[in-house]
Amino acid sequence: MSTVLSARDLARYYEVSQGFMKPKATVKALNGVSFDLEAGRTLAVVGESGCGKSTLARQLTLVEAPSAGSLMLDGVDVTHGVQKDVKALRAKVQMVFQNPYASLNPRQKIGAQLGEPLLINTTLSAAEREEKVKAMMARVGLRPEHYYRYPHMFSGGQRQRIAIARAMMLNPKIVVADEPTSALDVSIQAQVLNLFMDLQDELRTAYVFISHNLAVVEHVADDVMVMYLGRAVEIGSKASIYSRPLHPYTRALLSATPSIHPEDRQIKIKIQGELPSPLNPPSGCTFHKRCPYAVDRCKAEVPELRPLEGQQVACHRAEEIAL
Amino acid sequence: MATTNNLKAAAAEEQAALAFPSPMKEFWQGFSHNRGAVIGLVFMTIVVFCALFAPWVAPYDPIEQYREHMLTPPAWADGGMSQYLLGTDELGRDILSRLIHGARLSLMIGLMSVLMAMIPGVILGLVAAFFPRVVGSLIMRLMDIMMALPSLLLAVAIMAILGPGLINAMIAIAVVALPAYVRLTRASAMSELNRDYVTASRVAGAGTLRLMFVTVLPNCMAPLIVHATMSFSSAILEAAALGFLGLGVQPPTPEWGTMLASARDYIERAWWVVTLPGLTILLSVLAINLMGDGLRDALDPKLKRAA
Repeated sequence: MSTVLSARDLARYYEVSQGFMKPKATVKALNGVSFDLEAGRTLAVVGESGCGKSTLARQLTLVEAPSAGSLMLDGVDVTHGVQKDVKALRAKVQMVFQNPYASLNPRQKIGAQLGEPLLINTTLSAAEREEKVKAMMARVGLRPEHYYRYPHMFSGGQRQRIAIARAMMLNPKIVVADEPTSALDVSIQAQVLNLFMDLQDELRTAYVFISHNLAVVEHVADDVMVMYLGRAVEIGSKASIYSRPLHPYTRALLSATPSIHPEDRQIKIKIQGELPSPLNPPSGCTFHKRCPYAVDRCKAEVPELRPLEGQQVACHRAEEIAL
Repeated sequence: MATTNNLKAAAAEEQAALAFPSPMKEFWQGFSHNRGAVIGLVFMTIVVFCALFAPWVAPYDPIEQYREHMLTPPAWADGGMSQYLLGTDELGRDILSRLIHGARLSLMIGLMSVLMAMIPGVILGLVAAFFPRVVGSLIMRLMDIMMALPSLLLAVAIMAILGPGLINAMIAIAVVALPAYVRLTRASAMSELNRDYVTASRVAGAGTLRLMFVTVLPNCMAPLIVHATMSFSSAILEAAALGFLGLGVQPPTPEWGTMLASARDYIERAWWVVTLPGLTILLSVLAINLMGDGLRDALDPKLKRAA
């Protein structure tokens, strides 16, 4: 297995104006995230709103430069690399967005939009491009006549398939999918997820799958990373995280998943309060204010991600509170 | 035999489904769907035809003075003469001929000053939207200063620097109209820039120029087209104002705005001298606005009927 993506202490800070004549505040949207991703595997990133999932997506797709840390894509260091190398890497990371109604250019025909990555990154002739675009359209289940249509003529599911086709045009090594199914009907979600998985089997693409739908994650992921306030609190294989979550936050998250079978319903672990403001994060473990197991040490010391039972967890008391 | 025929029919159907109208044909379909736009187009075609072939279309020389027929009313009014269809002006010149010849200059002034304002305005607006920090705020402050000056005063000041003349008048009008285009383009480009499809294009490797003109600009066209058609009329009128101050078109050259301005002394005695050039400007502007509406709708794929 080859590692295609490796992030080390990736961080992204935003400066926020607090008003006239006041000093600028720093939001640590992403605060030191490290992980590796192997070809053909899916890493699911889960966490509640505002935990830095989408910021992570923006760093991985090179839309923004990280404030600190390093990012290796296919063996090339992007953060400290030469501009030209970074440009060459563009084609290797692609993205699928959450809202299929906003991610397609309303004034461009589908054929032109799908051909754009080829036009920019390859030297293929117009006829060759059209041929490749039509092959990809067939691959994602679109009919050839859709080539000449505009995005508004399609349904949400069709649009998301177009968006996936566009991401796949250049045969990328990594596709970052930012909640690709959350804007779709439930009946269409499965269709889109299956398309993702079929394409992965075929092209051995690695996915970073951002979601807050744990049922979807269970369906597609190989590994799961749980994020809380800009940090990874637990990383592990899907099976181990779902069967034996080590971090109290992961546990609370999993117990919040609704189930239609009464026998599957666990006792809900309620976490108190709101996600703290990233402008002013709590000291020590950022979760200590909501954590039922918090002790004094949690308030003082930031827990590092450490290996435990084949997973990685950032909690001082993971051993003690393990089930 | 029947099956082969069926197969053939199916194949033909498939071909028909695959065949798609060419961009021009598709555009025309969208445009012709709008009745007002077609009427505007017909009217403008007539005006442009008159302008192009003015010497052959016009019954008289536009600067020839028929002193014995000064201020003759139009043919249908009391005292009108059939040889002067729209009457004559204060110097006995045939108004119809002057309007036909005037179309040349007026249309050119309108078109050129709109183009000269729109092209740099759109480029500056896009640059301001893409680089909002330093370059963008610099451009916008400059535009604010230009907007703060009264438009005619600014035009006169520019004319004072450049010197009188038709081309300089067009440049002055264009400079005055520039800030509106910059602001419009910047505002719509800024809102489009945050959309996902721009990010998608960026992730696909599109450079700044491509993002500006291929991805973002087509989505900002609607307000620009409307504003361009509206400012066409104000350009003609401003050219008249400059001409009135002796800075634009010089008499006796026929031009709609100047005709309107120079005839204001006779507004009580001879209504047609003022009304007819004014009506011509009004109708042309209306026609252009209608065309602009049709153009905007035809360029917006959402308003096109599904193929």
